Amino acid sequence: MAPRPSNRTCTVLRGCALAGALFLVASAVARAEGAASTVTVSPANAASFSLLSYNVHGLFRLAAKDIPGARSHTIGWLASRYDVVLFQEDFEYHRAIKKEMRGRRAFRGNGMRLDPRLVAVKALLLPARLFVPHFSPPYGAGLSAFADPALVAEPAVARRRYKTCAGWVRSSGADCWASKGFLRVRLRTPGGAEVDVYNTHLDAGPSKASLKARRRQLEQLAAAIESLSPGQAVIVAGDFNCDFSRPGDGDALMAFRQRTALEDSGAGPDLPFWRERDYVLYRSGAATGLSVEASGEAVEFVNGDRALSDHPALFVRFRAVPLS
Amino acid sequence: MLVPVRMSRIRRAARDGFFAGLAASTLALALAGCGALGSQPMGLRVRAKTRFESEWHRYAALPEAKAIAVAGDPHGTYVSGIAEGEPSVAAAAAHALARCRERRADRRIEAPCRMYGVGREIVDTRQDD
Repeated sequence: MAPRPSNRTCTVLRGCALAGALFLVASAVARAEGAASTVTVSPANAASFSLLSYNVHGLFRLAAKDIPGARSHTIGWLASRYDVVLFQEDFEYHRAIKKEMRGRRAFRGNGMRLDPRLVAVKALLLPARLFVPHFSPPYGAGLSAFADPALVAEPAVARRRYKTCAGWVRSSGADCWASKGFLRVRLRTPGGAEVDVYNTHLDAGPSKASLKARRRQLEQLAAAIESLSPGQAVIVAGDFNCDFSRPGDGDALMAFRQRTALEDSGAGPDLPFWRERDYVLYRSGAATGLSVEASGEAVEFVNGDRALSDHPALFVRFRAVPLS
Repeated sequence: MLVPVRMSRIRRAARDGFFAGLAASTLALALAGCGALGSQPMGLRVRAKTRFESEWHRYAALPEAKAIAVAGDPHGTYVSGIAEGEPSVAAAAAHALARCRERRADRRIEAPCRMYGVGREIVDTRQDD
């Protein structure tokens, strides 16, 4: 049996940390109340739903440099107020987050690719899992989506991993230790408007090889959108690791947007310390009109000089209208 | 008969040692995990450097001719446009402004784009709040 430090004392402490955090974020929650509420349908069959995109930095403890287990419960509790939630990097803490996302349907991204190097390391590290809780590298995509069951359309899910990655060491992004990709979930509002929601996480890293990998991943994603969602209303959100002010990145993202006809929802970091890497893009389709009612940073995930992740949480309130 | 007895003792000692080590490491991990959880505040400390400070630092290292334009408050919600390696300063300024306008429309920022830096000089004369 795997011995874990999550004994009774730990549970009590975690409970205290969670309760304290919940108390501290209560005011921020009240401020964001307008963004996250239940799906509403107007007489004209238009429906509004809220969407949250959040990179939760759910690596194992040594790499995360904090105690992700404690904040994962809070993240799940806060995120459960949104109709559609897209997480990136929930590698080790998917279960902890899912536990708090009551009443939501859960979908996960692709698993680890069958690269001999990854398989060998996975096998070598397997015994360590007996002693170290939440330690299971190398990883899959680390993507997950949670949605109000009333919004999920069948067949709901498509998932693919990217064919390229760059970097095995920390200085070059170490992205090849994960098998990044995208996850698509199809939604249908009670009014009959269909929207394909894509969650993705691209390579990080500042090197030319990383930039090239990001560009190829965006090309693969664009091709997938063309084949899986032709003429459909689409939302693409996640951690793109693209900074418009970084040479090459802005151009790659704009080329992707032009090819897929995606617009920026306007959601971005509002607090000054965040880097701009996360985006929520969208477009209308032949049968569904999609527009943005509100967008911005979900600031309830930040408390003073501490945040529940190393990325901002972005929210958008969409309005979907069936056109036919 | 002597040899099997010794072997079984060695095996028993090795087994006991393994389980003792296992118990000790488990206990250490549990204590480390719980102790740290109790003493460390939840969450990650946010970066001390603002996004604009990082961006300006990166801009400083870019090759000439270069320019940076911004819309909004660089200490809060803002967008920027950067051009580098252009044939002239005027071309860099025009390119930076165009990129800034593109991002300004994306983020729905009402304030217009203005030149912040051309080459190594800060040209923004606006008083930041």
